[in-house]
Amino acid sequence: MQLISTTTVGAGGTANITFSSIPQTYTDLYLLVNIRSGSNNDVLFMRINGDTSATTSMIIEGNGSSAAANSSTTNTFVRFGTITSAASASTFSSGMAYLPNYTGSAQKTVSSDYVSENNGTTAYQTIVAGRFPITAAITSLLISNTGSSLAEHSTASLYGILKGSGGATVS
Amino acid sequence: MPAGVSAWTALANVTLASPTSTVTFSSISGAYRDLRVVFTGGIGSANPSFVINSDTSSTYLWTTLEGNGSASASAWNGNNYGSFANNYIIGYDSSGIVIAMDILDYAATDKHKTILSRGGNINRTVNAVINRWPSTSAITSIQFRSDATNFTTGSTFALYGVSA
Repeated sequence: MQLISTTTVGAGGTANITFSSIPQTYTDLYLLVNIRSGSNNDVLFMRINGDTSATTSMIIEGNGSSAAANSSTTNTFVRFGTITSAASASTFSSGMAYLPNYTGSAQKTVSSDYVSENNGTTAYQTIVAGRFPITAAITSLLISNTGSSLAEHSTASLYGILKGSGGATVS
Repeated sequence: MPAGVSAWTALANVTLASPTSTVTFSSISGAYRDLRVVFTGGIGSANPSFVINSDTSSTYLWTTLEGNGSASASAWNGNNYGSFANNYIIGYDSSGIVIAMDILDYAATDKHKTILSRGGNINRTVNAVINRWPSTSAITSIQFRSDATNFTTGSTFALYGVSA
């Protein structure tokens, strides 16, 4: 796993974080984020290649008192998680997303985990299986939210993973 | 870990050229701290499983959490194999499944082994599974089994060693 790029949001915040010109030399992508938003109960999401086509996703989310299952076939993004950061000072949420075979010709899938943090009884843990209806290789990845901007000191790091070969027995 | 040095080492990878019932990673080096397995592709059966070190005598225990788009469920179970994906998934799909499995402290000889899986099938379910293999032996092989119907052509299994 090799670091491709890392971003830290500066003073004033930002509307989104974009990784562009992603090298095509790896097999999978691995994204790690630590995010704070100015809004509470804000949805963090991702898009690839600037595409706003409808995506498909399966979601399960717990909020500290119950778990809910949802799905979507109409969102123009794949949901990452729910941010509760605004409720507690200096508190950020964390998540990871795994995008396998990002240079391949099949539609692009993603598996993600996201946990929010809040000095209260409500905090979210979200697991998502998503699919972007894009058969082109992933060359850019955007992270944004449905509320106000991503706050200063939020970070995002994108890694490339290169698979080995052989070493397995099949039957 | 010095900058620029990879914490993940690619150990093995296979892309299935035909429908396959088992995939085995053997002679796994004990040089790392954790292992990660990534599966992409299709699973035609309800109970894809794994066996460690050919051990089908021990009782593997697992707890699952899943959502199918409208309902969530959690369950606890055990058998002489581990649950690769939630055996309530009913993952009858030809493609689009992604599963990431982390096996922590796999080479340790003073603890039972914990295996965490997350993944899903965008047409059916998203899930998380935690397994325990009740053995203090170091893990040297992992066999994935598809159950009644094979892993589909084009599916991939990748094994990584994760350094501390």
